[in-house]
Formats: sequence, structure tokens, C-alpha cells
Amino acid sequence: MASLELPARSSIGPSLGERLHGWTTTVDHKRLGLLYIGTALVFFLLAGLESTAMRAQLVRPESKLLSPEVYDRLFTMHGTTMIFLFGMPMLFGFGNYLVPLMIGARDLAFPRLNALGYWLFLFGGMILYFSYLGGEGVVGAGTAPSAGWFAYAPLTGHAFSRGHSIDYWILGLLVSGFGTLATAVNLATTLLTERCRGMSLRRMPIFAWMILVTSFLAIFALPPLTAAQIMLLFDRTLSAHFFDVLQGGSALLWQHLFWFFGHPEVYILVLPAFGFISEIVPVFSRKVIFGYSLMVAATVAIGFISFGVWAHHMFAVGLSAPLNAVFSGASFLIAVPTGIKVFNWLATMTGGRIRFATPMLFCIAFVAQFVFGGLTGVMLATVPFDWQVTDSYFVVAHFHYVLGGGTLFAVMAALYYWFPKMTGRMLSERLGRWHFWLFVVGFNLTFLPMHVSGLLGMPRRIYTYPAGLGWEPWNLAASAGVLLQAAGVVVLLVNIARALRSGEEAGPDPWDAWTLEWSTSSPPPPYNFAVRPEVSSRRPLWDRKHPEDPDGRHE
Amino acid sequence: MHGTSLVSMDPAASPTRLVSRAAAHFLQIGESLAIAANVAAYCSSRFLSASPTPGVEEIGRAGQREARRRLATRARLVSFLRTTRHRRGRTVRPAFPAEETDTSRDREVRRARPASQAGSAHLRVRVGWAAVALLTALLLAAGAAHASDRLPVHLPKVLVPASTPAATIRELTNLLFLITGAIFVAVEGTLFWAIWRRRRGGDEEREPPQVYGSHPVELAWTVAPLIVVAVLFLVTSRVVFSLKPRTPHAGALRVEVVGHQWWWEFRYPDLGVVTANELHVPLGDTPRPVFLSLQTADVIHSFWVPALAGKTDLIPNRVNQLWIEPHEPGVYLGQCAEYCGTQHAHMRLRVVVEPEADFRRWVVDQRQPAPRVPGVDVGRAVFTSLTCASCHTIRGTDADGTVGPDLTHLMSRATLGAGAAPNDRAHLLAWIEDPATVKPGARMPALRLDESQLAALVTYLRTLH
Repeated sequence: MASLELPARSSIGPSLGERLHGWTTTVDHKRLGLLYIGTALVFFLLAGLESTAMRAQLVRPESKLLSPEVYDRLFTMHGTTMIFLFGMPMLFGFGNYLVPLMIGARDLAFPRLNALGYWLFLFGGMILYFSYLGGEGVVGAGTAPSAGWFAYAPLTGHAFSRGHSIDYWILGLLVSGFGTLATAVNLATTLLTERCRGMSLRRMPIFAWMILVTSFLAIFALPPLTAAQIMLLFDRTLSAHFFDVLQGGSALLWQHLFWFFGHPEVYILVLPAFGFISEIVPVFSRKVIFGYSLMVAATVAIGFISFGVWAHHMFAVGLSAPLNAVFSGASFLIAVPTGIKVFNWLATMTGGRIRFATPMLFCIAFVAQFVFGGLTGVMLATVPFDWQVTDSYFVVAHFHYVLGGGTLFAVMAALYYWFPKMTGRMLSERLGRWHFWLFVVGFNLTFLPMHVSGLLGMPRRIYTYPAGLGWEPWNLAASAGVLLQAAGVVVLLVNIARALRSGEEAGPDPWDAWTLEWSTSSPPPPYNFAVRPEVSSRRPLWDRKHPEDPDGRHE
Repeated sequence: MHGTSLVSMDPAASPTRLVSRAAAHFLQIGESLAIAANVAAYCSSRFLSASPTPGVEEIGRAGQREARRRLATRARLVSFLRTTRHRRGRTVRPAFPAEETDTSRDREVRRARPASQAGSAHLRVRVGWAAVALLTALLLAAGAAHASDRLPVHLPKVLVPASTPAATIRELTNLLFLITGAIFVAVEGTLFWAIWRRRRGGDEEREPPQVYGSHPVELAWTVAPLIVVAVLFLVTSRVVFSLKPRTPHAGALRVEVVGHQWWWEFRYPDLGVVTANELHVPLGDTPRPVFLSLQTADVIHSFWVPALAGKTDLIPNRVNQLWIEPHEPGVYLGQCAEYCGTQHAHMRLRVVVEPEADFRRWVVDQRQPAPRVPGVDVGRAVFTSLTCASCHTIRGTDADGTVGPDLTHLMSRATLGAGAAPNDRAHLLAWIEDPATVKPGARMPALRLDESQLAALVTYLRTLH
């Protein structure tokens, strides 16, 4: 794969050292994309281990398997990892790999900035995980942060979180956040300036549109988080009093700043997933996406509205009734463009010649589960109901349906769909099906019962619970589901390893697809296209395959 | 669930205890299923009454067979619901103002129902009662009941409210279940229909017709959700305003709730009572609101007793308001719902809703200084001379610390460490010897008392009724 950059000196190819050098000094968007995806997968495994340990603790009441301190660290690290070190890098990794190929470009606008973004992310993640060793500040006595992924003040203050674990949390996320910001600027610039001839904004693939909106969300949402984290760092190291309630600081200020980032963040994690679905569903339904313009308009609408809903994470803090009503209304409103997307996918599938390849299976499960998570989201936007179930397992179930059943399933669909393009090898369909069914059953077995335990009054983030409250069967089921999901992940890893070693050759266009990345070889050469393409519609490869009925005149 | 111990952390598992535990498990699974059935039944009953619900006057008129038939179906549903409610040991008395609830309508329906149909329903109800009685007897026999606990225990269930705010939210929840349920069925149905009706066979090479979009259709599914969310917004706003904090009227019961890592302090400013982890409120002939002002001594906590009201956070430097209006006597379970550090899991609370007379007696008892029981002077001296007194108050002695819970009437409470252990001699001993064995991370230090000091101290504390 590396032979074009590093001419082989002998017939056996470059040495290990040369290859490592190649990967660490690369500024190629495809290699950096793969680095992002690979690193994110490693963090995914870590976060998965953390959640498995938590479910093992909760399998029965009054379990003594984990101490409360260890449990608190696990859920903090699981949440932080999944959001910042798996979700965003995974999606931006795909963006990195796919955007230039989809818009007929040779690379991102700023290749070296791109490399900087990746390495900042990697080192940020390593700083966070180093806290397991160095968090206490004394050799041999380590801790990880244990204040939860949204790190509410004043629990993060010196009085309640001694040692350095919170400092590691702040610094790790600051560093990786700068990386994300760099990548977002890079992707937005690329999309606005590097499109090939003929590709107007109205002809961009929907995935590219999603990445564009996501990049702007990141550019506007991350700075408030960065500011809040620097303020917290000042509080902890320089005795500033932004959030120090004993000195007149405000605990709610942190919540406002955090969620002003935190809610757009949800859409940063979910819009690219929408993009995956919008690319994959048409190909496996053999139909053009239904209502392209409305799809794009809905995305932009989500982008704007997502900045006006943050206080729906704070309905229980005692806001005034009018404020609660306004944020409730804004949260309801965001369901409309989201619903439009779902309807358009259904319309795309209707009347199609559906092929049930693994990517499509994951897409179908995505739609089914995301709708469920979206509807519990509507319920949670209903303030009085939110007063009951916020911070209970109902909310845990809700956001896992959106980000797990939604984003994670979409990522799996994308992995199966673009793996042939990235490696030139097909993943096994048989193992793919095993992976899919283990995941679907395991996922729903884990998270469906959590709705019930939430309605039965089980708060989130408790390391143990007493017998006799009716929570036992639901927790048992949830823990059992984790085993199935873990088995699914093992199947995925085996599938990837097998495909890399002896997978079937993919060829440039194994799925008979329509966007530009399938017009070049698999894997693409470092320069992507020998001649930069020119397009006259949203589906350039459709036009090439059906010269008698090109797309352009229908758009 | 009358009389089950809510916290069964006694590691010694005697056979009787095992039996009672197994029975409790069995009950809980049944109950949880009953909730699902309840939701389903509720939705279907809503559907049945989607056409204008026939009232009593309508039934009186002759020749309305259709209405009767519908009512009979409803009544069967209602009786089914009742059976499940009975099985859960819940009283059937309507919990909130009659004209707004389905329960009251159901009652009228039941009066109007032909006797022949009532028979089978009654039989089922009786079977339900028998099961409850049998299991209760079993549990009581197994000795699982807490001695001081004569009131029924209400589990923290969102869908089984027993207070005005919680019941209002429950009503709204029903509407939510209905709307989101309908959308869910419609969308998932369309998804599976699209998959089922996919193009099969024929020329594999030919692509299906390409549909690029349709403005009327897209407009329709933009506007339809807008209407739904507009309705939801209006309904939500109405309920938000109806449940917003009220100004306590003169003579209303006010309680100051103070959250601590990891226990609850309850102060009754008008009654001069201070206690911990157990909130007592009176229940008169008609339900009356109780006003809670919420504050915290350290980090953010959240007050949540699902059967009584939604949760409200306790925020530093801020006083939040919450009101409850219980309808039934009982012990209501709740716990802190905002992660607040190591022992967030053991920051539980109990709300004791008791008849007015019992409450007055409780207030009188609580206002007394600690009882002067002879023969425990050694224990008292240990308490007041060692560090205990710098954190805890026992009125009537020199101990006046305010960091930990007020222990003046420690033995009037059912649990230790905010629900971490039952309040009996063995656990009290273990708790004082080293709190970390009962509640790891708790703020109370182990005092390293010698055995005789420990025994004397526990004996003394056990007199604080």
C-alpha cells in the first residue's frame, strides 16, 4: 500500500521501520483517515471493556465486585471515551478519508494541519488514559477521573476531586479538542473550495453535506467547552472562582457552558451517521435518494436549532417555567427535520430492489432503533416527564438508542460498505451477518430493559442497588445483552483480520455504487484520481452507467 | 408488598430469608410485566374511547346497545387492570380529583354494568387478593418486616403515582405513550412494509424506477410533524405552568431539605424539628400540599421520590422549590438522582406519609430532647467526650455538631447511612466500628474505639427513641 510513497528498495517491500516512518510522517488524507478509524476502534474496545465491567457489577443487587470509586471511574471514562475518543474521531476519520474522494479532490485543503489534528487527538487520548497511572500524582497510586463525562461543578473542584485526575481529564480533552477543531476547519475549507468541476453545492453527495454542517457545528460548539475547561483548570490550579461555589462561583455556569457544547455535540455525532445512511440506503435499494434538497435543508435546520436546545439537559435544575417551556418547544422542533430524514429514507427504500448485504442490514437496524431513540427523545423534551426520568436509566436507554443504536450502527454500516474501498478487500458476508445479528439482539437486550428500570425509579450512575425494588430482572437482561454485543465485536475483529489476510479482491466498485470514490481503484492511489473528474449530476457514476438516462435532467 | 424489607443486605441467608427473597423476586417480575400490560391496556382503552366516551346519562337512555357493548369491553379491560393493580397491592381509591381521571369514569361504568359480567371480574379480583394475602403472609412469616414499619411501602415507580404532581405527570405520560406509540407503529410499520414489498425477481440488471422526490409529499411530512409538536408544546407548557413552584399559603407545612454527601437533612422551620433521611408528612382528610425548599451543603444533588413528584436538583448557592401532595398513607422510597460522588448510590430517602394524628405524635416526640435512660451514662460519655459530638447533635446533651445527621431520635429511623443498612444493633455496631465496611467512602471516620467503648456507645445510641 505504501509503495507509491516509499519506493521499495528490494523485492520484499519496505522494512517495518520504513513503513512506520511512512505512517507517522504521512499527510495523505486516506492514511490519516485510516489512522483515525483504527485509533478510534482501539478506544472503542477500551470503552467496551469499561462498560462490560460496569454491567458485571450491576448483574445482581448488592454486588461487591467493584468498589464505588472504581465504578465511578469506569462510567466517567466510558462516557468520555465514547464521545471524544471514539465517536468524533471515527466520524471525522471517515470524513477525512471520504470527503476528498467524494468531491473529486486530491487531498484536504491543508494536509499538514490534518496530520496535526490526528496527532493532537491521539496524544489527547493518551493524556486522558495516562490518568489511570498518574492521576493521584504519586508514583504507584493511580486514579482516573470520576466526576462523570459531563463533569458537573462543584464535584470537579479541589474540595471534592483531589489529586490530578480531573486535570488529566481537562488537558486530554483540551488537546484532542484542538485537534478536532483543526480537522473541522480543514474539512469545511475543503468542501467549500476543493470540489471538482461541475460539483456545485447542490450536487455534493449528502454525506459531504453532513460533514460540512458537522464541521460548522464543531467550529461553533467546541470553543465554549474549551473556554469552560480552561476556566476549570484556572479554578483548580490558580484558585480562580468561576465554579467554586464556596467563593461565589456558579455551579450552573458550568452546566450552561458544557451543554452549549454538549447538545450540538450530539448532532456532531449523529449527522455524519445520517450521511452514511443517506449514501448506503440508496445504493442497496437501487434508487436515488428521495428528496435530496429537503434532506440538505433539514440538515442545515438541525444545525441551527441544535444551538438553541441545550437547557433541555437542565430541566431539573429549577429554571423558570417560561424558560422550560421555550427549551421544550425548541427540542420538539428539532424532531421535525429529523423526522423528515427518516421519512425520506423510507421513501427511498419503498419500491426499491433491496439487497440485504451487511451494510444495508446495519442501515435498516439503524432506522428502526434511531426512530425509537428519537421518540423517547420527544418524550424527554416534555418537561414534566423529563422531571421524572432524567438522570434515571430511562435517559441512559434513550441516548444509547440514539448514539449506539443510531451512530454506532451507522458506523458499522459504513465500515462494511467502505472497507473494500479502503483496503481493496471484501469483508466476509457470512461473518458480517453473525456480527449483525449478535449486535442487534445484544444491543436491544441491553438497552430496552433500561427504559423499564428507569420507570421503576433506578437512577443512573449508582454502583449498586438493593434487592426488592423490582430492578433485578432488567439489570440481569441488560448485562446478558452485553455478552452478545461483545461476541459481535469479536466477530467483527476476526472478520477484519481475515479480510486483510485473505479477503476476496474488491475491485474499484464492488457495490455498483454511484459516487465518485467508486470510480478510482481500491485502495485509491495517493493522488486519488489520475485525472480530476468532472461531474454533471449528483450521481456521476449513474450517468456513466446509464448514458441513456443521466441524472442531471431530473435534478 | 406490605412489610417487605426494602434493604436486605444481611449477608447471612437463612432458609426463611431465602424463601422470602425468592417470593419477592417472583412478585417483582410479575409487577414489571404488569406495568407493560398496564401501558398496553391503557393505550387500547384510550383507543376504545376515541369516539366520544359515553357518559352515565347516555347509558340511561334506551336503545343504545352500541354504547353498552363498548362499555362492557371497557369494563372488562378495567377489571383486568384492577386485577393487576390488586396484585401489586395498590389501593383502588382514586388518587386524584375525580372528574379528571379515568378511574372515576371506570367506576361509573362499573355501576352500570350488567351483573352477569361482573361475576368473572370479581372472581379474578378475588384471586388477585388471595395471591397478595398469601404472599404477604409468607413474607411476614419469613420475618422480613421491619418492626417500625406498619405503613405500606410504595416502590419508586414513575407510573404508579400517589401525589398530585406525580399523577399529573402520569396523565401527561399517557398522552406521550399514545402519541409516540402511534408514530412508532406507523414508522416501523412502513419500514417493514417497504422491506416486505421490495422488488424481487425479474431482470436483476434493470434498475427500479428512480423517484427523485415529490414536493406535495415532502410538504405533507414536514407539516404533519409540525402540528404534532405544536400540540405537544401546548400541552407541555400547560402542565409546566400548572406544576411550577407555588408560594406556600399561611399555615402550610414547609420543610427545608438540605443535601449532604451522602445523606438528607430535613428541617421543619415552623415545628422546630430536625431529622435525617426520613421525611414525615401528614395526610389529612383531603390531600394538602407540602412545600419543600431544596438546598445543598456541598455538591449538586437531586431530590427524587417518583411516586410523589418529578425530581428537582439541589444546587449550591440556590434555593429550589418543590411541592408534593400525597394521597395515600405509606412509606415512599426515593433517592438522590444527580451523581454526587462516591456514595451517590447510598443517598436514599424515605417519605413517611401518615395520618394527621400520627404525624402530630411524631412531631411531639421529635421535639423532645433525647430521652434520659438510666444505665447508659458510659455510652453517653463516650459520645460527648470523643469526636462524635463535633459532628453530631444529640439535643439534651453537650453534643451539638452540625456536620453529620442529628441523632437525637436516631432509633425512630428505619435505616442507617441514608439507606445503606437497616437500623439494628448489629449494623449500628458495624457502622460505628468502621463506616467504610457498610458504606465505603462515607465521610464518617472510623474512630478506633475499644470493644467496651463500642458496646457502651451502641447501647446508648439504641436508647435514642
